[in-house]
Amino acid sequence: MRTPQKIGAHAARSLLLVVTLLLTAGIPLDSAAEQLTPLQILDRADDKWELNLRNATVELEFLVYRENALRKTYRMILKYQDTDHVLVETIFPPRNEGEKMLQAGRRNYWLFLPNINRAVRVSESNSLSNSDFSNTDLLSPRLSNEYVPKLLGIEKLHGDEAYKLELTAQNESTPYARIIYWVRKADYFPLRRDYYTFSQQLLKRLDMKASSPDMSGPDTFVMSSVLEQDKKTVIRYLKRTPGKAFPAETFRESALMKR
Amino acid sequence: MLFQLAGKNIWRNRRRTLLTETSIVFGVLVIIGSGNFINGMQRDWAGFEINANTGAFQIEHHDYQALGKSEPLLVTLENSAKLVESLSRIPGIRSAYGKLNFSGMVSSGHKSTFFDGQAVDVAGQRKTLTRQEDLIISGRPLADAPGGIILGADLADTLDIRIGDPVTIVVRTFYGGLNLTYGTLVGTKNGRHFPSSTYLEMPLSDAQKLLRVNDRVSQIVVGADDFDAIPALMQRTAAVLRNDKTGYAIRGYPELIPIYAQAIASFKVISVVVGLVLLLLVGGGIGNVMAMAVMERKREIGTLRALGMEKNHLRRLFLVEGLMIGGIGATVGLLAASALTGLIAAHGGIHLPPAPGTSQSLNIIPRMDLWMSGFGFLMPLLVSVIAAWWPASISANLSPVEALTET
Repeated sequence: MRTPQKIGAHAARSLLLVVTLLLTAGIPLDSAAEQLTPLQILDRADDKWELNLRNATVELEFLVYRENALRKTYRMILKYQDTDHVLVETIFPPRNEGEKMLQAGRRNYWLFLPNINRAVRVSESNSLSNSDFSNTDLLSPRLSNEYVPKLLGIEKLHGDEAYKLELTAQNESTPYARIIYWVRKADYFPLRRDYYTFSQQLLKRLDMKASSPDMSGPDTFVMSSVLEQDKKTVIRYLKRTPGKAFPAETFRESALMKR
Repeated sequence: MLFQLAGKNIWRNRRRTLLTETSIVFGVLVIIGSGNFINGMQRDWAGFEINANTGAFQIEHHDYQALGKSEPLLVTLENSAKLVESLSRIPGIRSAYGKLNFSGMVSSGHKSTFFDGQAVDVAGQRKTLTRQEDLIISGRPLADAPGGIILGADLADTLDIRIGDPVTIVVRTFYGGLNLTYGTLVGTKNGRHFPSSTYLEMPLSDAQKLLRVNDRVSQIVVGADDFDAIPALMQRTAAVLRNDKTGYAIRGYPELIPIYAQAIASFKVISVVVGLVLLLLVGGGIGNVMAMAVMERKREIGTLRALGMEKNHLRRLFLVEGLMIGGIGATVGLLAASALTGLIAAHGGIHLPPAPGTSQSLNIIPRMDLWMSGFGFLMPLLVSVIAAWWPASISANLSPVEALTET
């Protein structure tokens, strides 16, 4: 005979099993998501950005605006292996053709200039092609490696509920001292980053969006500077070819000049 | 006896002697005068740069010249305040201050561009570089209060900003992160030592805070009152610093002032070449005078030889005449050059307008240059003797009969 205690224990076990099955199947549960730690939220947002790129070749367009007018257009091929190994090669305009930016490990950035056939080491905070992006902004999207997140709350951004995270740099060698990061609550899509300097001044703002609902992560990035009014840089992914396996030599500084 | 005779002979053809002496005096005047002018220019140029830009010498990290351009913050001097204090105690050093070189981006809110910055200890700079204010084009120098920014005049034009406008500065800190600060444009300046299109100056304490480099500087600039004692002072300072385990390099003003050493060497070569050309002309004149004297005085030479004067005695007579002509010209030339130098110096020197693209005029006060004075005085004597040798030999070899019978 089943006692009420036995019936209660069975029901509890059944509920636990259903919840476990639902979580394993990846069905989002609001109540479960709210229990994610700030680091887990940040990791998922990082995944949204990075999984689009990992082991892929991406052709991207780089539009530099000054005083609200388009001043420069670049096209680049980005070969992305992982968060520490990236090669960007400029293919347009002809004047800059052949210029390469290499990330050959964490904080190991190289700029190759074909005119002088030399590779020079550059800082991760250096500007990428004289734009509003620094090297690290585009090439190292995994913020969870560098920052300690803290959840400030949930607020509406562009009509969506978003987690508002405060990321604090783990050490002073990180380009930005603090980043305020908005991540869409429903699917952890990265929406906006505000970058702050060590003097706690806002330096620039990055807005991200997907050009089509099929995209799982952002493919359009708009970086606005607070230093100058009406100044921004837009990056758009034009074509993505996933499933690429790059030879290890692709990401070696010594091989830059051979290509 | 020989000198008296030579003197009388010189005095006999006064017009010719006067013409020869005039050419010698002119030659000596040009050689010594140009030497004095270059000497004065060298000192005044160096003096201006020492008091406006470089100081008498600078002390920096021994690797600064190799790595200063690529990683300026990594080759800085630690505990700079203590070092400045100990340097200031060395006898002969008037004052010293630290400066920090860095780069970054400066923005007016409408335009941004890269800059090469120099952060200075304002109070120390005021004592060390007493003519620093001469470089200011508009506005005022940095004050002790924080927040002031000075830009190169061309950089201010590029950013299209005026005195009192706000500027934003973004830099990469010592540790690699980005940092930002705001300031106000208080002045613009121009000078030969920095590109006006990228120059930015701000107070040292502001920059150290911005770059997160507490008490670090790139160079310590040293001021001294006695220009001639600077090399000895550098040696004394090097001896004091040798006890410190930090590797220091000391660079003197001739190395710090752009093209200074090359320019001075070039001027010296030019003045020596001009001097040699003038001496050739002077030598030719003396030779001509002596040759004419031999031609005109053949009967006299014959008489002297007939009276028993030895060949060597006769040769010496003509050599002494040449030496006296050269000696009188050289002495008068030296006195004239010294008087002219003193006169110009007493009237404030020669004022040169600013070079194109700069705002600093230069006042050159000529000063006696011992080397060029010696060269200008001794060379006419030597040339006179050499020029008189050939006519003297001809006169000595004349036979008394030939000389007396020649019409």
